[in-house]
Order: sequence, then C-alpha cells, then structure tokens
Amino acid sequence: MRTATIYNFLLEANIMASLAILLMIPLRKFFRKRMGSTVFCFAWLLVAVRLLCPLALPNPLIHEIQSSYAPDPALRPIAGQVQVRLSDAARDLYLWTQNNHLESLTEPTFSLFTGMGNASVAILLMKVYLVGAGLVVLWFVLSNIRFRRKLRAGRIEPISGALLDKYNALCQARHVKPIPVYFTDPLPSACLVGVFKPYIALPLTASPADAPQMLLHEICHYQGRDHLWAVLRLLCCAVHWFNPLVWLAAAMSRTDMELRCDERVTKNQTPEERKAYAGVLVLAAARRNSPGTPILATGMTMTGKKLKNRVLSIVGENRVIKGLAAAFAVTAAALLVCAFATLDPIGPAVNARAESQAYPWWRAYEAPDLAADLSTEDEFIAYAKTKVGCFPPELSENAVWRAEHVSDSWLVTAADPDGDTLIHGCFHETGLIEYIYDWQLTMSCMPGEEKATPTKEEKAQLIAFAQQCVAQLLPGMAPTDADAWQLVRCEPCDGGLDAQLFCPMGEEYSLTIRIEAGEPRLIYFMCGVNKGNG
Amino acid sequence: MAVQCTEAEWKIMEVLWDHSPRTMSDITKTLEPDTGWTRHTVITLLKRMQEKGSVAVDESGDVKTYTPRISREEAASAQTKKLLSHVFSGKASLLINNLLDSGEITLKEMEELMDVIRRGRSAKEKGGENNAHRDDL
Repeated sequence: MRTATIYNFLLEANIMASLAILLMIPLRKFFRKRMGSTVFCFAWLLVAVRLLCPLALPNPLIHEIQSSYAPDPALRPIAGQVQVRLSDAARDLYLWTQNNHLESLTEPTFSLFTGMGNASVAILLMKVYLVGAGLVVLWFVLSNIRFRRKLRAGRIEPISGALLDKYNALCQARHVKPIPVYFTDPLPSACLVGVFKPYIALPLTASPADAPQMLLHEICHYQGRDHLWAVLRLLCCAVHWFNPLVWLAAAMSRTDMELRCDERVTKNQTPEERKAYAGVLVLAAARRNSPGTPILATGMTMTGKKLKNRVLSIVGENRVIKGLAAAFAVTAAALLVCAFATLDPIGPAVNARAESQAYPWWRAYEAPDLAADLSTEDEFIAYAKTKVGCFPPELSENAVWRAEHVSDSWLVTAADPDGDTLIHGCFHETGLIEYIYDWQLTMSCMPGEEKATPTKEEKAQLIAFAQQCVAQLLPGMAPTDADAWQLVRCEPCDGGLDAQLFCPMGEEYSLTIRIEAGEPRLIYFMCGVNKGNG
Repeated sequence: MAVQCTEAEWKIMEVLWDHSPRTMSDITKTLEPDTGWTRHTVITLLKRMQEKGSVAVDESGDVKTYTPRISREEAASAQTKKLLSHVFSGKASLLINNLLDSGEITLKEMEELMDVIRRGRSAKEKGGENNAHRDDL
C-alpha cells in the first residue's frame, strides 16, 4: 500500500471525524434528554465508520481546494492541502532561522524543509505511525489478557437455583439467548466479558436482592451488542492513536452506551423499580474501579458527576421526542456520506495513472541510461554543475557548492559568497535528478489567487522550453510527445508569467517556468513525481 | 502477617472471628441467608484463604474445621494500609482529614484518637530512651 494512500485515509478520516466529535460535545450536553442516548450511540457508530472505512466518493466541489503544488498527485485534495501547508510552514521556519541568523537551527529546519519535499519526512512519519499503532494494539491485547486471567482466577461457580431461574426469565422477557453467568471474587461490579463467547461475571458479594438488577443491566448490554462496540472503539483508538479527540470520543461513546443500557433496563419499569436500580448503581460505584483495564468488558461502575447525572436520568421523567431523534439520525447519516466525499473527479485520470504506474515507495528509484555513477561529494557537485545551464547565467564561478548525503539521495546546493542559496537539487547515484530549482525565483513569487491564460504562442514557447530543459537535465529521457504536456497552473508574477507544466509520460515531469520579457526561465524541475516520492 | 482479604473472604473471616473452629457446613449455614452462597462457593473461598494463609484447617477429626490465622486487628491493619497507599498516597493525615471533612468521625472518637496518638508517641519515646540506654551500656 502506498504511503499516499495511507495519508489520504488518515488525514481525511481524522479531519472529518474530529469535526463530528467536536459537534457531538454540545449536542450531547443540550439534547440528550430530548433525543435519548440511542441516537447518540448511532451517531458514534457513524463516526467509527468514518474513522475505519477508507472510502472516497467523488465530489466535484473539492476540486476547488486541489493544490497544484502537492508534489504527489496521488494525494487527494485534503491531504495535498495539508502537505502543502506543512511544506510552506517548514519553509517559513527555515527562512525565519536564516533571517534571524540562528545557525544552530538553520540546518535542522533546512533538513525538515527538504524532507517535506523529497518525502523523507513523510516516510519517517509513516514509520512512527505504524510503530505507535502497533504499540497501542499490543497494550490493548496485553491489558485484556491480564484482565481475563484475573477474572478466570477469581471465578467461583456458575449461578444456580433461584437466581438462575430469575436470570432465565429476564432473558426470555428480553428475547435474548442466555449466556453463561459466573460468580467471581474479587469483582467490584458485574461486567459482560468477551467478544466471541461472551459471558457475565457477577460479583460474589452481590446480594440476592441486587443480583437480578445487575444481571438485567448486563443482559441489556448483550442485547445491544455492546461487547462488539468495545472492539470498534479499540480499533478506532489503535488506528488513530495520535488523535486525542478519538480517545475522547471513545470515552464519550462508552458513557452513552451505559446510558442507553440504563434506558433499556428502565423502559416500562415503575418509579420504585427505577429507584431500586439507581440504588444498585450507586452501590456498584462505591466499589470503584475494576481490576486491570477492562477495555473489552462493560461494567456498571461510573463515579462522580457522571454517576449523579446517570441516577437523575434514571429516576427522572425524560420524554424523548422521537421526531427530533429521527431527524438527527437522518442528518447524521447524510453528513457521513458527505464526510466520504473527498475524491476529486476532475483529476482522476492523472491520479489513476499515477496509481497504476507507481513504484512501491520502498524501492530505490532506478533511472536508465544516464551513464552516471556518482558516489562522492565532489562527483555530485561536478555533475550538478553541468546541469545548471537551464537556470539564469548569474551563477558565477564564485558560487559555493556543497553536497550532503540524505537517505538514498544527495542534496546539492550552490550559494553565493554571502551564503544565500541560489540553486538546490536532489540527485541520485544513477544521475537521476529528483528535483532542482532556482531558490531565489522560487521564493520570489508565491502562488496566489490570480490566474492567467497564456496565449497560444506563449504556451508553445513554454512546452518547447520544457522539452529543452528535460533534454538538458536528463539526456535521452525527454518525452517523445510534446502534446503530452499539460498546463496545470498559470498566473501573473512580477510583470511576467509563471506557469507549471506536467507531463505524465515516461518518468513524469513537473516544471515551473517563468516567462519574463519574452524569455523563459526555469524555476523548478521535478522528476518521477509519482515514483518513490511517497 | 499482612494478608489482604476480599470482601467475600471478609464475610467468612467475620464468621470465624465470631466463633471458631467451625466446619464448612456451619459457615455455609451462617452465611446462606444473607448471601445465598452454596457449599461449593464457601469451599472455593476457604481453599483460597487457606492458600493465602488467612485460615488454618484442622483435618484431624471426622470433619475438617477452620480457624482464623490472622486476628481482626491484623486484617484491619492490612486493609487500612492498602486504603492509605491506594487512596491517600500513604498519608494517614489525608485519611483523617477526609474522615473529618465528611463528618464520619464524631468528637468523642476524635478525642479517643488523640489519646491513642499520645499513648503511641509515649511508647515510641520510651522505646527510643531504652535503645539509647542499651547503646550506652
């Protein structure tokens, strides 16, 4: 799976789900009494679907935020915007350290900036993400194994006699197939345990009067498939471990699940029965937390303000407005569909081609026939010097060159004697040029809102110049069909015209060219746009 | 000997402290009205308590009998230490403050507590003097 695919999914899912989670906070606070907890549980299910489902539906409106500057067209508009914004921020940070002469920070910020461009930062972040997700899953698994072992060790015997008869009667009344129930000690409160073969653990110290209420609560959890909900929560937290809102949502959904269970239990109960049930809750709360971290178990304990609200909700008369609840559910479902609408249908041809021709990101990019075999700093500098012919002739003999080995490529920079960067490029040992650009020109004209349309002659001039640049930079690798060049962006700049061209043929090239006083100048060249660049 | 008793085990200990030695049937009969526990439950708990060291079993007679191996004070002390370390970070002063704030402790009980503290301090000081005397010798 390509890194871009994962980034698309993670960024889109987290942004959309985070908005939904933030919206749920006030809705739960102000509308719970009128809508009931069931509809909020349904909303949490929709949030979980958004978080776990890597679906992308076409949405023509999202083309408006498609960035032309995202180096990888495989990135969808949202992920592309995030990458461009982060790259801009990294660039601004680097420039700030330079302008403020913070030498100690200049190198690391420069590495960060270039890393954003050559995807080394993206690849590193992906590794960190995968390790984090793995650790979270491991923690969950070990916690639950520990909890299950403690329960197993504390198991006394299955319930029997009058209590078993009552339990079976409760199951029958709720149309639920009875599952095993074991007395367990120590256990502060009853809980539904397990996913594939669930059972109920009942505290040994539950009085004969309170035990049926506890069992009814757990039966309602089982009826609502709350043990499966727990698995969903766990998956969401593991996949999106870096987002604190997801953890908050897991906690809130757990609360709503308990409240929904209370509503199921107390449905059709008399006020006296409700009070008795509330009393059992308070008693269970007094026993505080269960052993270990029962992620995959449901329990009756809840303390403090939550318990107070829960008790008030049970004994109070809450009239749910069904129409309001239904309207909320329908709106939430519609919003979920919108939350998946992140695919730009206007650019799928490029993206589809990019996906089909993509190299796996872990493979070193191999370019044919450049007849170069570079290994030392001097060799890279000498090679780079032969490639700057496309750039303005201001690059003098006094320019200071340096080369730095980063990951599987070399970053070569030419600066003037004052230390200002003139040319910057990324080269491979085979001689392939991943990118090379005129630093000063790149910084001088930032992308804006204004668009321009080149004349036919200007467009022909741009394409011819692009072909010439590729032929100079990568001999023998220029596209054979000049018509394959696409004009991606064009805008006025400093009295001239800045244009970005893209060619999906061959090695896939992206160039930014400026036409000034009728003369074209190369600003930025990038090669292998969709290959090995994350 | 610090032995932690669960809530269920404490119920059995209460029965044994009240009167022991006792047989398993006797314990079950005493507890059954309030708890509804079966013989199997009591047997399982007694076996665990035996392994923990909180009860001793005498198998010399026709029927096994059980006696407590720890006193009520020892068990209470162990529970208090657990409460202090888990809830009050090991600080008894926090526990006392909590009891005072919640009104759990009456004025009479406070005075009794002060007496106990004074007696305890004197005993510590005397113990310190004796140690010093022994050192001198």
